[in-house]
Amino acid sequence: MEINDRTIVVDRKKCNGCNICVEICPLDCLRLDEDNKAYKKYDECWYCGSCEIECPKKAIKMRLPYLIS
Amino acid sequence: MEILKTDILIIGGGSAGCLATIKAKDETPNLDITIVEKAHIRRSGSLATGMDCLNVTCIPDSEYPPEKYMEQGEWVEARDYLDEKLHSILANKSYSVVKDLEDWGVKFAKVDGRYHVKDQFLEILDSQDLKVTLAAQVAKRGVQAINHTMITSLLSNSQKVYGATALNIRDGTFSIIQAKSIILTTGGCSRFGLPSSGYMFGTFDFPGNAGDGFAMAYKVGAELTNFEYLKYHYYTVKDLHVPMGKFYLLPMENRIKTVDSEGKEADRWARPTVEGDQPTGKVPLFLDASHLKKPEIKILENVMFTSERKIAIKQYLEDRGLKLGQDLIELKQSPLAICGGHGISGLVTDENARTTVEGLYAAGDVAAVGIQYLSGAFVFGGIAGISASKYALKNKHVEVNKKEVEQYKEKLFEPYRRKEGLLPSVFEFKLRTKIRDYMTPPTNEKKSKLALKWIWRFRREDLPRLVARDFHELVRAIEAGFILDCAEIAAHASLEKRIGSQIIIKRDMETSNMKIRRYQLPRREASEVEDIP
Repeated sequence: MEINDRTIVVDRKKCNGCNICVEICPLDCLRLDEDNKAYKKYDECWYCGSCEIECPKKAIKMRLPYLIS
Repeated sequence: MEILKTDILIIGGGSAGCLATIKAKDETPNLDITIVEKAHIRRSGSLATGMDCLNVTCIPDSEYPPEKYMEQGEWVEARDYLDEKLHSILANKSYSVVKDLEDWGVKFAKVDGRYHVKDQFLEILDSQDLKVTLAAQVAKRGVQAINHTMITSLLSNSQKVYGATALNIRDGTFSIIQAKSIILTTGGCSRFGLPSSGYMFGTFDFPGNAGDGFAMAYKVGAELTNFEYLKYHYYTVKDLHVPMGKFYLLPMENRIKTVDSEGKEADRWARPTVEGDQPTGKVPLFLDASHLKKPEIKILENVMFTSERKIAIKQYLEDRGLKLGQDLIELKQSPLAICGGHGISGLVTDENARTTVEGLYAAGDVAAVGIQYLSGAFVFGGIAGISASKYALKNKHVEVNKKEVEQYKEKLFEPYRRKEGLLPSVFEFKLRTKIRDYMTPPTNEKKSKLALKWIWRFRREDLPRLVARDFHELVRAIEAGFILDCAEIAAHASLEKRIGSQIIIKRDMETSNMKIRRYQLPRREASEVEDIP
């Protein structure tokens, strides 16, 4: 079963695991998974878009959290 | 336990913290300066992805000189509650902030080569990387920010503050930072009332700010004021709660309007900062752009989709299938928050950005300058940096009371050691529903007493049960404690609120009891003072 509220959409083909988004997320929401791909671990996004702006591979699309969208 | 020794400690790497660092280093290049940031200095605080406007800009010999701000600026509506001296400083120093930012590469709106100041507002162009620019100026001065580190408490003796305890939010490393002077630039308490969406991080101000500075400063005896007048905005886009003010100010023949549920124009500028100001019109209210001409819609879209929080605004309209000019956009009161930038609550500070505790300075949303906006964070951040460096030059380090810190550390890590209990997120949701229910204005004695009853129950039953599965959750547990502290201070202030007076609260360091004083307005210095038992 996939549990996904789609807030931070990471293109796993493009993500190179550089860790920049994990470093800069102002709310510390993101982590790298076992495959070294970024994912949103904590549902505490302020939808500021820093991750999307900073991603050097343009692998991240920020979507609004379910309760806001 | 590691002890880091520094001359000046700056807590919070946001707008005020960066300016404090820059000005302190320029003033005293030989002093050691440490800036600690809960996230990462490159993208942190309310400025993470930019800010559209310097909301207080006064330019001498222009159409908007400092004198005009002193007579007509936004602060005037709350002038009885605020310190006029501080606003005079803000007015007179705001132009130097513009000059500094320009030197660092920031661009401002100009018409025929002159700054285009609309009322007190000056538009910042291409502001997305404003925070990146500030972080670069900090780095350029050889100051390396300590990122991903939360300051959890201030250390003090009976005379002054002399240090702080720090927690790495990723690996849980606990340390002590010893400093000759300390500057608090932690922002306000954004995670306070519950947003209409129910999404706890859907706040107006940056939700990483959980009232850390208010709570920590209270514990070392600093004075807090105006906590009976909390901050919210009547009209922000429902659920999204991003700032919209700029869109009303666009230089067009027709402007966007706020209309009520019957289509009548409503007064969007009604501000709840001080008592009595109520919105007009029947709710729900809407943002209406249907009367704009096509080119005007284009201008509006162009600004909206290139401005502060642009990705969120674009997504919101797309997700809800809303088209500007065709559809009404629903507005809703923003969640209750405590803030000295948009609101008027915070730490009492003077013209040197000193708090009432020796060695402790404060600037930005944590300070009760009131309605000072980003301009205030820059101006008083800079002032705090200079004052704190002068103080550090003349003072020495104080020996850390290690035994006391050891005891504190044990308690701080309790949620992490617990195997079962209450998750911080669940606790915070409940706490914030009660804040929304019992602390949203208009308040009265019954509501404030109910608020206090819940606060005491949370303190007795829930706080001792919090459980954190990792250090990220431990941070949220500590923050929940800060929110609760802020709620307690605000509920007491609300209970003792009287028309035409102002409450100042501090902790009596000898008895640990809360000391509440009521000052008759308008002037604090010469006013009648009442000690409330």
